[in-house]
Amino acid sequence: MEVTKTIGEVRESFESSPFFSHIGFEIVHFEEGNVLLKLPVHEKLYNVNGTLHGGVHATMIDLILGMAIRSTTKTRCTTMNLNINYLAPASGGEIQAKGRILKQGYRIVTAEGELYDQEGNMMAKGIGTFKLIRED
Amino acid sequence: MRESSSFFEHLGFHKYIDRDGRVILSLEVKPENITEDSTIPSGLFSSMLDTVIGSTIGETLQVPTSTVNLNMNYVDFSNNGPFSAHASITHKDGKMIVGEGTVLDGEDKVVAKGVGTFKVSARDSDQKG
Repeated sequence: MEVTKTIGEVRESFESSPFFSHIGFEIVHFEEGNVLLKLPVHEKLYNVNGTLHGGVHATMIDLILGMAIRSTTKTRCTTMNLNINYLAPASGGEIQAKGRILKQGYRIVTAEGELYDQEGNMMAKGIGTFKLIRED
Repeated sequence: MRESSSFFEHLGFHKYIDRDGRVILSLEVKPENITEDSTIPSGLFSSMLDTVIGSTIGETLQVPTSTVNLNMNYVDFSNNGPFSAHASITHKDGKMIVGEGTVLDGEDKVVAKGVGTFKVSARDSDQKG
């Protein structure tokens, strides 16, 4: 049976993820369809160039899209496709992510999101397709 | 040129060259690399694909690169590894290089595939990894 969670329970499920903590993500704001995520850019997240690894950009956009979807639908989801455009490198400081649903169907949701540096410059943009995990 | 990055080590990746000369990235999933419901985060596969495609370009063409675009399809999150990834170069045009990568589980079943566009960097320190 599908379990409907509260917005607080959805937030808690993200924050209790070991991977979420391992990367160092922090939720700034978590409301239905309005989530702000931040990431202090530590050296442990760098590539050999001394800038943020591309896998971190992808991980953060994947996460903010999933958060935008789950905060709205209260339903678990899984990523089917993710397309990331890398616009600028990052090193030091912190970056923030925002995301939103573009189209919500019964099982398939498409969402988009961006990463910004502390000056508000867009560093990466992504669009993803997710499947809602429904029991019926 | 460094062999690996701090993020590479943070996630526990291992890189080696197989008998066919391919770059292979392997991962034994650690407790800190799973989600709250004990599944594999798709970001882990994204990181593997970005790294293995970039490393394959670096090893093959001996040029430093940075990622311009990455498009990934996730097929299966149902097992916890171990995982391996390999990649190949599909196109090169001036400073733009396109590669594709595949992540396999321990039974060689595909769990994720990706296509990446990489730009040759002017500086050696831009090398992926």
